[in-house]
Amino acid sequence: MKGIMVAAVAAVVSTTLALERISWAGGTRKVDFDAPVRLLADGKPLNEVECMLYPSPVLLDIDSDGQRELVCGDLGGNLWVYENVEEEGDATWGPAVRLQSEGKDLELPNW
Amino acid sequence: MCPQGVDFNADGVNDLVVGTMEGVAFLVPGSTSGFKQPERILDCEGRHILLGKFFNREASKWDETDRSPKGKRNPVDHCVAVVAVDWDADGDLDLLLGAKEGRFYLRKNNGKKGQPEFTAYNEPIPAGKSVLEVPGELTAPRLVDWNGDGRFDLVCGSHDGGVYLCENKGKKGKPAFGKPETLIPPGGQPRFMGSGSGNLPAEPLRPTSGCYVDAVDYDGDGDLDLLVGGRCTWKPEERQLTAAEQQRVKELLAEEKSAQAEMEKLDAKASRTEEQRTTWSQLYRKLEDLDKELCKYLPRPRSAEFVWLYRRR
Repeated sequence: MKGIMVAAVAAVVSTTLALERISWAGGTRKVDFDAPVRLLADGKPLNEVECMLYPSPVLLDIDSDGQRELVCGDLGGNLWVYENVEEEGDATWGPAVRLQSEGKDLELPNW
Repeated sequence: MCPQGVDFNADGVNDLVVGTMEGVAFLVPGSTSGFKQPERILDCEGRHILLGKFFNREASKWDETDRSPKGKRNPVDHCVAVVAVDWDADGDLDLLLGAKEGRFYLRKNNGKKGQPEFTAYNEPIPAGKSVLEVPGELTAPRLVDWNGDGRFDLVCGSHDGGVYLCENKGKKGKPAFGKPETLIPPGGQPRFMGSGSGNLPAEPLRPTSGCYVDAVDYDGDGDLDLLVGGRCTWKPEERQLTAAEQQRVKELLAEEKSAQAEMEKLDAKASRTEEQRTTWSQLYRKLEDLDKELCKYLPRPRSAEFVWLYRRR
């Protein structure tokens, strides 16, 4: 699995950048990460359409279908859900849909 | 607003526990037929779970209260994040509250699994001789076993763009966290565009502020990666414009100048009529649209929020 996800999410940065290796040495901790890549949703940079402020991502199986979805909270109190449209292998996130509660868009009083 | 997926009420279905800017802990109960309406989580005295500062919905204003342990005085902190976790390993979920100011507090659950009775006061989380605190204004704390030693560690994002790790060096049921160590350094960019735009990259390279994090094995390789939602500012490189584009830029800049002048006149008024307020909003939207179009031609600083993957090696 290692390495294959980069191809799925790296379309908006250069190949050179995606392969760059980053070591952050802060305090006593040194962890190696690949250079950050922006996730895509429905083929576009995630949040290009939704325009969330302060997107807060979490991966979880929100609809109990056995597959993890990407869920983002935002400053407006909304929760956006992205389905993984692949059955196996690389995750490909579909378009954003608002999380529903009792037939309506769920909204928390965040602001 | 960072959600956590967890079976809070022990009914076998994922619920959402959410900290909000209101300063209050929320539960969005899940069910086999979908999510129910959000509800505020209550403590053993029937009061909302919060720290010191909160938005008082009844009075419609920011307010303060004191939920310090008896004989002590906590700072007036603003709860913005909540994590349900079995802190003391007694089989039920306690609540870890994260304050915007960077500190953490515990609400122990003295009830039973699925029937919580949270303490009525906020117990500060110690770290050595001080209290546990992350720098740069806290956003989303996550409790995960980062180092694979079987204990939950704390990974936390911040508004300054940094992501920090506090390792749990305690025992099961008695967590003890070390000082924050930097997983991702602060972004080093202004939090808001317009407050300085020197040394900007030509394209979005990384989130630099307002970083909300999830630590998760994204690619299934057995280690935890970081998903980071955050803001980035960049300035595209200048390009050669065609004659038609140059003409269009000229028109757009003239329109922009005129709209800005009108807006400045309205800004200078001590009070505005309803009509003037409407005009101001229209001008604001117009300036946004003009800027959007001008950005196609001119290397103006741009700011936007995205979700990024930091894949751990």
